Formats: sequence, structure tokens, C-alpha cells
Amino acid sequence: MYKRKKMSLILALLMIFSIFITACSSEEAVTTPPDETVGNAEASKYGGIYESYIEADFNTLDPAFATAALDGFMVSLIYDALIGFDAEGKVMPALAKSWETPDEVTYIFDLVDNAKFHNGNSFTANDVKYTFERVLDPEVASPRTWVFDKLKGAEAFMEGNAAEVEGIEILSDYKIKLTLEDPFAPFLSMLGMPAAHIVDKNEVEKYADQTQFALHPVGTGPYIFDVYNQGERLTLNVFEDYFAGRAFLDGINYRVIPDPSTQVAEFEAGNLDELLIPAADLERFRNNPTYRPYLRDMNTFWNFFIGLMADKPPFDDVRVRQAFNYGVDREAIVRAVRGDTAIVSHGPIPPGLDGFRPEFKSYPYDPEKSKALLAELGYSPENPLPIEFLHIESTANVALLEPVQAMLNQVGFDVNLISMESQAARVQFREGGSHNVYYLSWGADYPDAENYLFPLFHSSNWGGGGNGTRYSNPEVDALLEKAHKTANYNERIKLYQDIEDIVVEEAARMWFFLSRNWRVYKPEVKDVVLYRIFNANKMLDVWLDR
Amino acid sequence: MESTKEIMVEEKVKKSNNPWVIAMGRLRRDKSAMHGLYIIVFLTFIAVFASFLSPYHPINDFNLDRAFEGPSYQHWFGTDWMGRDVLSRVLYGSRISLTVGLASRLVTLSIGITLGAIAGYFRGIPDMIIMRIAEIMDAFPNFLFAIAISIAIGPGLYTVFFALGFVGWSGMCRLIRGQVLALREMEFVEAARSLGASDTRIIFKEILPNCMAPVIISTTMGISSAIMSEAALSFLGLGAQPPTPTWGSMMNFGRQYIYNAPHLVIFPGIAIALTVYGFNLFGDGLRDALDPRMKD
Amino acid sequence: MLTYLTRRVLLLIPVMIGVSLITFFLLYFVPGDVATTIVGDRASDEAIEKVRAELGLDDPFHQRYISYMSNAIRGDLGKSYINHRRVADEIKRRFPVTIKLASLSFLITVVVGTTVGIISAVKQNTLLDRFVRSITLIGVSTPVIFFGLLMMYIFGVWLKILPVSGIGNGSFKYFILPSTVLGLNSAVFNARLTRSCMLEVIRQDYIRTARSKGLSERVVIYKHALRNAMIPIITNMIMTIGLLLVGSALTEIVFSLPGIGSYTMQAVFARDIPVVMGCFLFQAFIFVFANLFVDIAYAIVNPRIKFN
Repeated sequence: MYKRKKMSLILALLMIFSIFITACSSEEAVTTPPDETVGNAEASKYGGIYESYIEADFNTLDPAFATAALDGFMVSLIYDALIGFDAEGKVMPALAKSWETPDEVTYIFDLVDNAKFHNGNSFTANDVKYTFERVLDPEVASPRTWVFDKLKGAEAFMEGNAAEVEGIEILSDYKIKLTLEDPFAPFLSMLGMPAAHIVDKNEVEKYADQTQFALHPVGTGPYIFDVYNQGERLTLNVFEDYFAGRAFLDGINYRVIPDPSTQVAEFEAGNLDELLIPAADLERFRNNPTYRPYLRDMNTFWNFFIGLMADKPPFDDVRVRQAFNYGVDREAIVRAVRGDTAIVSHGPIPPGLDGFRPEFKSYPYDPEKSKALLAELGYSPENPLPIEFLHIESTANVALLEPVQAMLNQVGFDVNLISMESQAARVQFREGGSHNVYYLSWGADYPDAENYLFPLFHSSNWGGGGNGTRYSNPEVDALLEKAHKTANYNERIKLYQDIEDIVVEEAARMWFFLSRNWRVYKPEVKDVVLYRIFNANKMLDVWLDR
Repeated sequence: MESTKEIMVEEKVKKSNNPWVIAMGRLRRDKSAMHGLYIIVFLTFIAVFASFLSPYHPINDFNLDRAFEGPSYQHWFGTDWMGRDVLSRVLYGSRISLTVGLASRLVTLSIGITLGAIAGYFRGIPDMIIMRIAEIMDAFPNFLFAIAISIAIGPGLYTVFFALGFVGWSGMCRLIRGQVLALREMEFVEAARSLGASDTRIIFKEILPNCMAPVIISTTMGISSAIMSEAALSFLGLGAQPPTPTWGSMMNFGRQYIYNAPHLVIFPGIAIALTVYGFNLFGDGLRDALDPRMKD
Repeated sequence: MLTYLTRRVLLLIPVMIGVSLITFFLLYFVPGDVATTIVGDRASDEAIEKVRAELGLDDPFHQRYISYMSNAIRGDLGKSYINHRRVADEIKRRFPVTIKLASLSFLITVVVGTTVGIISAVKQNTLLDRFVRSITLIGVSTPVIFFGLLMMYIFGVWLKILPVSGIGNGSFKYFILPSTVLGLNSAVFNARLTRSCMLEVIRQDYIRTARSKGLSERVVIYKHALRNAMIPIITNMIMTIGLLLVGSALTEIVFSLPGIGSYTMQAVFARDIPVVMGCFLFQAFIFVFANLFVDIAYAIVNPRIKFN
């Protein structure tokens, strides 16, 4: 008797909590919406500190070592590259104001003559040469040598047989010529990668130990590195002498907020100027008139896929791979779990890149076909095919993969989900462990269809290079190599589409979805531009009306 | 500090005639403790009969078209993100949570009792070595050490048992050692020894049964903290593997829906709170009951 | 006393060696290594090998251990493999955060724990006893990941009277919410201990005598009972300080606090060996010293204890 009373008391208390929560959320929905929207008509104002956040600490601010997306973004605020990207990911001038390509292997860049480093030194062609050679220098041991190793003479330089890279020629202080060994069409857009951001020799060599440079970064970029307290915040100040005109903001304050729920709470408390809305909160923000006018969305270039290990049974059999693809209702899962924060992906080339075909469709959800294919091999829901499904642990991943598992178990697989923390999982992805299937995503290092095909499907990239599924098809290899050397743009794109046809036909992977980012801003934040490439936003458009 | 403990034990043994009978009588009269016990019995019942009590299968019965539904007649606790029945998942979750609690305590007990008994009974060099190791273990921050162990062993439910159980052994070891040190000098132990009983026999038949009271108390309390720790490990992605329904992982997933679908976090939350509450009440009562200095 | 102290301080040496050995051993066998983080995706195997060789990750266990320890003994805890920041500097910067969090949590532990403990002992088995115990228990039986979030929304977002997270300018108001979440946990244990100690003392003869002499209940409780129940309570409290000072990873993560706990945890996940080693050694050192402090305090409060 008494026990029940006490239990119901506890129940009631927690119920009150829940009612409180719901009550408060509906109350917010009633508040009157402000009519103003973000308009371009107003005159942009200078000043103000932009309050933002990062989810984790970055690893380095030295361009030669910046490999993570977050590091790349920070690098692009502090440094500049020869080229940049516009909001859609098209190449545009940056430190190079123009360029010409007299033949397939030669690029001649005209550099801006008014760019300065944060220390006051002028930027010249020498800095470009120094930066590129530094990345290739075996002493430096940058993991990004592949960005420049197609330059003429790069191999010799890396092996220590040449003092300079033959393919980097300084024509004058503000003119530089780059020559490639062989034609390599995506080269130009690769010059926008973090590793190609220009550093000042004087600053790098100021320190006996070059790792110290990463803690005191100096570039030509729109923002100057001020303070970084690990686990707490990164502060950037505006660079008044920025060659393309100073940014509107006086500075940016990035707080380190690891827990997404805390990020949401901080934004709702009014302490942040922007928020990347988690999938769980999108509907709530969208239905709330206070926030609705200030929501922005954009498709990203992050293509999420399930990799099928093609080098060993059972996924070396194309029928098993196809059965896998037929067996998952991607539309339904994406709709239920991600809502509008993702769109279904049908192949390696994402929308927004040349080569993408809107009409191109991969495997529809067809459990009967899936069952039939497995039945050919003697498997059925009663006698299922056991597979190990490895993924990096996260709430978001589990939310997506549990439905995948449940659906596959219905058609005749017996899926064992293995949830590993990131480091251990990455070693498995790289070295190939006991797993048959894994879940990961691929984002553009540079906006070119090549970036979604060559690393993922060329047999030279097995393991860490990007081809984690160890897919190998001589025909695809040959086509990829041919595309690299094809200078005619349209012809090259056509080749990529042919490759896409083959790898989808062969069900080399299961393309799952492309993420779509939703951001919400404070009303004072004006002229927000969302960029599709992770390091394209240099925070030059946005200004604060306060 | 240690010396006081020993004195306390001595007193305890002197005064107790038939401690278990007295203790149980006391326990039965302690209302709070009995409520705790009822809760534990209730949870055990649920855990054992989860498959009969659950209206749906916790993993296989999914329906993406009915995701995030609030409590209704069909789904008393609502549905989760893939339309699974939250009630069924909470019921099945009791199995995992109670197993985590019990299994991790079992690890603590087996290591702690073995080492504690050896140290206390044989004294001398084994004692010194064991106690130095225990000191080293104490110096590790428990939770962080459990994280490191979990990562080292690799993911899975057994890892959770071991990691949570292993970090607590030094406390248990010290507790047992203190008891054994005091008991080994008692008359009844001397008597057994003079009758030619082996060391093993003396430890298992004479000494250990007489120092069970604090062990039982500490184990009862430990179960609830292990259940809480499982929730914490889930948050870090080191809990049980998906799609195993555990309260910790359900809460961790549900907390992001604190606004939109509060039932996802409320119900597993109630389950954890109820369990921890039950074990704590019962543990408190046990302590009161088994402590012979308490007079009626 | 002095010889005892010397002995205890000397005992620190085997403890530190043990902690370092076990940590190093654990990290040696942990799958995954920091090289994958440093080179990132799409890096060649040669790039990884180069990093591994540079960091000496391929060297045999004893060689790596000895080289680490020989530096550590000289006070050089090394640099993070990932961002090359000095571990000692980072600990120095983060420890004040942990101290603030710990001291405020401690205050809550003492105030709430003792109050609840006394109330439930004096009013044992009354409705009030059950009520205060239930309330604190419910607080403590809600996992931090949820309880913290709830507090954040109630006080930070809706009532807007406290900061949501972070350390801001370092003022104490930033620590109120995380300390409450953290402190309530140890407060429950403290309350439980206070209750049983008080109950024990209240039953003693001299309290009965005091009562029979007609002293007021308040005098009996506070002057006689509490003072005598104090020793184990104080011991427990100081032990709590030791535990709080090593940081609380989860609370720090949820509240975005750059303390020792979250630092250690991130390093464990990243396999950043110098950071993990430095943190575990530092935490062990703090913990052992806090314990030593307990023993000394104990001896002062209770002179009957002899050091052996």
C-alpha cells in the first residue's frame, strides 16, 4: 500500500517535470513573431564580436598538418590560399587574382600585390614556393604531400634528389608558374585545400621546433589568431589590413561546447549568434515563430555511405551487395531519423558538383528482390547470413543504423552491429578488420567529382587512401586514370558518370544520404552566407546589427 | 584510521549472539527498508518475466511510420525514433541494468574478497604487496580508469561488467582485510586451528561467513552506483552494444528530445531513479539492521 | 609523527610508479593510436609510419616507459602528441577550474549533506526523515547527463538567472549549476553517514544523561551529539575533497568546463599518451596528498590514534 503511494509520488514528480518541459516549449511557440527578416537593403555595419562555438578542440592551425574539417575551417580564417570557393563551391580568385593555363600541365598565377601577413611582411611569390615545398619536404613530414606530389619534380624533391621543386617557378614577385608532371584536371581546385594555405617563412622558421608555429599561427587571412585556451575558447581578431578589405566583424569568439544539447541551451539562452540545429531539434525551431525567420539551410557535400568489404566473402559476391542495397528502405529511414536534415543519396557524385544527374537512381527498396538474391545463395530469414557491421559510436549513428539492421534482418541477413569509439574504429577501417560492412561518410577536400571517385574506387587507394571497402575493378581503374589525363572538361565529366554507373551497378557501396545543415541565427546577425565547402567561409559577409 | 576499524569489528563480534536473526527482525520492522526491498523484488520480477510482460518485442517490432508517438493506449510509454514500444524496451532494459549491477559487483567481490582475505589472513609479505597494489588502484580516478579499461578491452556488455567491477575492488579488499585481521585472532578461529583445520577451511568456513554484513551492505549500495555508471558510459559510447535496450542508452538518446518527445527520457529516467532509490533504501535499512550497536 | 609523515611521503613513490606503469601498460595495449588522428583521413601508410617513428610509438615498451619516466622525474611531463601544448602548462591552467568546481561542490556536500543527515537522524523514521531522504535520493538517482541538462534549462534558459555553461570570466556564478549537480551526489553519501553516526551517538549513555539532566534538545543535538559524531563525518568529507579534486569528466563535458577531468578523458579517447600519463600522475598525486591530509587531520581531532 505504502509502497505504491511512494512510487506514485515519484512517478507524479517526474510527470510534473515532463509537463513542465512540454508546457514551456508550447509557451515559447506562442510568442509573437518579429516581422523583420534578414535583408540586404540595410547598410552593413562594422564592429561587434561574433559569438560562436566549436564542438571539439582542433588539432593544429599549421596548414601543412590541418587534416580535420574543423582545422581546415580555422586555417581558412587565419590564412589564404591562391584560390577560394564561392558559396556553391566554384573556384574563385583569392591570393591569385587571375590565372591562365597555356597547356594542360601549366598554370600561371597573377598574385595580388597588396596582401600582407599579420606580422606586416608582404606576401610574394616566394611565400607560395616556400609553402608548397614545405608540404613536400620530408623533414616536415606533412600528411598532405599528395596535394602537391603531381608537380613536376616533386618526386625528386621528396626523395632528396633535388633542392627545389622543378615545377614551381617564380616569374616575378607577383607571378608564379606551376607545372605538373602529367595533366591532372582537379589540380586547380586542390589549391584551395587547407594544406595549400600560404605561410610566412619567417614565422615558421622563427621557432627551433616547428610544432610551435601551430600554436602561434600567422597568415594573410581576414582574422588574426589571438588566444586559444584548449577546452575553453578560441578568440580571433579582425585583420585591419586584409588585402580584400577588412571583415565587418571586430572578432570571433569560438567557445568549446562539446555536448550538442548544451549548444542548443546556450543558443536559446541568447549567448550564441549561431547554432547548427541538431536533427532532434529542427522541427521545434522551425515551428517556433521566434526562430523561423532566422533559419538557413544548405545541402552539404558530405556523402554518407555503408561500405561493403569487397575483398572477402560474403560481399565479394555482387549479389550479396545488391541484396544489401535492395534490403534497406533509405527513404523511410532518412525521413524518420533525419527529417529534413538529410536527402537520400543515390551515388557517389553529390548534387552541386558537375557530373551529378538528378535523374540517376540507385537501388529502390525491394525486400522481395533482396530475399530472392540471398535465396540464390541459400540464405533466408530462417537461415540468415551473419555479417559484422562496424561503426563509430555516436547517438546519431546508432539512430540511423538500428533501423538498417532491423530491415536487413527481415530479408535474410543477421546483422551484428559493432559500435566502437573513433580511434579504434579508424584503425579497423584503415587496416581492414573482421568487419564485413562499415558506416562512414566522405566529404569533399575540393569540389570535383574526381574527389568522390578516385580515392574511393581506385585500387591504389586501398585502406587509408579512401578505398576502405577494398574495391578493385580494372575497368574502373583504367577509366579513373584516363579521366585524370583528360583535359576536356565535358569529356572528363562524362567519364566520371560512366564510372558512377559501373560502381552503382556493381553495388560497391550503399549510398545512404547527404547531410543538409540547418542553422539558426540571432536576429542581429545579417547577411549570412552558407558555404558548401567546409573551408570556403572566410566570415567576410556577415555583420552584426547591434 | 585502520586501527579504529579494527576496534569497531572487535566490538561487533563480541556483542552479537545470533546476529542474522536479530538483524532480520530489525529489518522487517524498518518500513523504508522494506519498501526498498519491495521495489527490488518488483524489478527482479520484471527482469525475469520481461518477455511475458512486454506487449511488443523491444528490437524487432519497429515501424518507422509511427516514430516518436507520445503515450497512448497501444503504447503506454509511447514509441521511440523507429516506432518501437518504449514500455517494452524499458521492461527489457531492467534485465540489462540489473545484470550490470549484479555482474559488476560480482567482479568487485571476487577480486576484493580473494585479495582481502589473503592479505588479512596471511599478513606479512602478501599483505604488504596486496595493500600497496590497492593503494595504487585507489590513486586512479575511478570513472576515468573505467573509461580507459573499456577502451582497452573493446566494446560490449562484458566490458561494462568488468570495467565497472574492477575499479571498485580496492575498497572491498580493504574492507575484507580489516574484518579478517580482527577475526583471525578470535577464539573460535583459534579453536578451529587447534583442531587442525586447514587455512582454506578456516578462511571459508570460519572467517568469511562472519564478515559478510559489511560486504552485503556495500554490495547493495554498489549495485545502484553501477547502474548509474552504465548510464554515464552509455553517454560516452562505451555502454552495451546497440540494439541492446539499456536504460542508460535510452536516456542518452532521449535527452536530445527533451522538448519534442520527453517520454523518451522520462520513462527510462524513472526506471533508473526507481532502481537506485530502491537499492539505496534497502541498503540503508541493511546497514541499520546489521549494525549490532543499534539497540532496539 | 615526523617519521610517520616521512614514511607516508616516501610511500608516494611506489604509488606513483605503480600508477605510471599501469597507465602506460594500458595505453600500450589500447587499440588505435594517435598517429591516425595526426595524419587524418586519406593519408598514406608511409605518412602514418613516419609519425609513429617520430613519436617513438614503435619502440619497445620498456624503452618508451623509461624515456617517459626519466623526463617525468625531472618534472617534464612532455607535450601533447596532437597539439604540442605542454601538459604541465595545460594542467596548471585547468586545475583552478577544477578547484573552483570542487570547492563549491564541497560546500554543497557539507551544507546539504549534514543538514539532511541531522534532520533524518533526529527525526528518525518520521515523515520528515523520509521526505528529505527521498528528495535527495531522487536528485542523486537521476543521471548527470539528464539532471545537468534539466538544471541548465530551468535556471539558464527559462529563468535566466544563471549562466548555462562554460566558465565565462571565471566568476563563481558559472560554477553554481555544475557544482550543484556534482555536489548533490556526494551530499547523499555524506547525509547517509551523518545520519548513521548521529543515530549511533544519540543512543550513547552520555546523551541520555544529558537529556535526563533536562538540557534542551537543541543543546543536546548540537553541543553533545554532533560534536561526537563529527570524526567520521569529517574524515568522509576530506575524502570527498580528494575525489572532487581529480575532476569530474562527465559534469565538465556537459557544462563545457575546461577542467582536469574532461582533459584526461579527451586524451584517453585520442590516445594522447603524454597527456593521459601526466593527468593520471597528477590526479594520483593529488589524491594521495588529500589522504595524507585526512590522516593528519584525523590524528589532530582524535589524539588516541597512534601512528604505526
